[in-house]
Amino acid sequence: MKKNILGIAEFLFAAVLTIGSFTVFKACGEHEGKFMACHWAQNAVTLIGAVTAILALVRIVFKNTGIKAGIAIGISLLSAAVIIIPGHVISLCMMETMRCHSIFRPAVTVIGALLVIIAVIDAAAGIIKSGKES
Amino acid sequence: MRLRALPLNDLRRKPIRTAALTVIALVLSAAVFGGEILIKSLQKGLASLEERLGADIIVLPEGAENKVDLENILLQGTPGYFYMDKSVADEIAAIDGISQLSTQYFLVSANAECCTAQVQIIGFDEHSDFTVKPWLKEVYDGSLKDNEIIVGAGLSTSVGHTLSLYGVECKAVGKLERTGTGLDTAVYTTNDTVKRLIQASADRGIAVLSKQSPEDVISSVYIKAAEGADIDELAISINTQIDGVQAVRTKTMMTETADKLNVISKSITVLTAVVWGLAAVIMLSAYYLTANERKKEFAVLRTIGFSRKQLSRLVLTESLITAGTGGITGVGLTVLVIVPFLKAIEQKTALPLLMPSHITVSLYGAAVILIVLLTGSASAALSAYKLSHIDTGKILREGC
Repeated sequence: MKKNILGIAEFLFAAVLTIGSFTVFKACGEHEGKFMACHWAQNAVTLIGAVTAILALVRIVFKNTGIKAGIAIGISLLSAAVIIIPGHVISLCMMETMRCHSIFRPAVTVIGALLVIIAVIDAAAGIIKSGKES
Repeated sequence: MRLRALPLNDLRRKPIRTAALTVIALVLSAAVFGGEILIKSLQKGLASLEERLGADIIVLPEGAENKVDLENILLQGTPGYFYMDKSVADEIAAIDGISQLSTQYFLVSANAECCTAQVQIIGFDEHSDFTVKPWLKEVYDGSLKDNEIIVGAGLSTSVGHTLSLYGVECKAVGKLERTGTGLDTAVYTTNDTVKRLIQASADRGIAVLSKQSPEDVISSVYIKAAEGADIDELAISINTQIDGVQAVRTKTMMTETADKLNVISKSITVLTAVVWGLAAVIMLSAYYLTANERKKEFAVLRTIGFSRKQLSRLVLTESLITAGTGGITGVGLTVLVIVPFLKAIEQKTALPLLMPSHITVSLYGAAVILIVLLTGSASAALSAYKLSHIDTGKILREGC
């Protein structure tokens, strides 16, 4: 349990990112059957969040410290990527007062940033530990 | 074991106590920092709104709903429109005590092509304007040509890009500075372009929200009083001499907002003070109780040669570590929560919020961390004194 505490934290944050991206802090909704630009940003965030959550689960299951560190590096890179999706990689709606700007983007930024911090600490700790083991 | 590592090892030995003290410091720093940033953002937002309006008096068509509509446009960015006859501007200009006068025409767009959002379109007179151009962040050459617009800072359209309004591609040639007001999401253009937009909406069969042309009507008149003129007197003159209009002093219009802001600021200040007081009392009690618990440990340290100064330093270092960790984490978490969600807070409170500069925020953060460190050390000072003055022999003999 103690060994996997950072992995569990990574999984929980990734799960919140995945589920929250289409529920609590979802982007603007559809209007007259048309989706706005931010909808595709939301889909991309959900997909990356799900992949990150799966990676975090794999990181918990594996026993090898080196592999754990490797997966943590992957999670940190994915989390950094998810931060730049809304507004940079995929554009959002026109006005800053819209939900995708005021709720969706800040929430993704905050959760993504926390995930990056946890995953970087996890990766650094894993690399140091695997260095000592070998 | 090295002596330098002793405070950290002590903290590790009592994880619950350490976590509790760190969380108290975290809550304290988050409350003080968050409260301060919100108050400063509110003050800056209101000052910005006052500056942004740039006029002493705004004249609107008579009717309370028009004043509410204008406040909604200014504070929340809710698009709105109201009209009065254009001849009103000439009648106002004839009144003494006016230095500058400029008219504006409000139009609400149908949903812009990309999004389900209505945009406030403001047609303004470039020659007499003194409220829009001073806020231009990116200045364009010359005057606005056909289908050229100036966009507020809250719109993602960049200078050189186009924005489709009623199917007309309008080129953004200027962008205004961020003001934290509803005007950040407005689009400014000439009355000729407004006319073209109205025509385009009719051609496309879109139910345009305005059927009145800027040739015949205006929405508001912005007035700058002449130097030495009594602004209240001027407003009264306009209200009594011209029918069907209401002249509102911009300061009066903002009084309600300022009152709301004062109540919020005071509540935040009181809450912050309460949290601070509580945190200081809890910290003091925690260190005081810990001092009783650790008498034996300190007696042993004294017998192996620790001086009183070293024991005091040990307690103070422990308090600095917990307060520092909690303080930095609290400030960091507050930045993560408040800075990105400021727009959402602004929308919920319907108050103008404008974040202070990064340097100011950083300075506040550093000051709050210092305050938390001082509170932590002051709370630990009493127990440091108590522990460094224990009767070693008595404690070791009696075991308590």
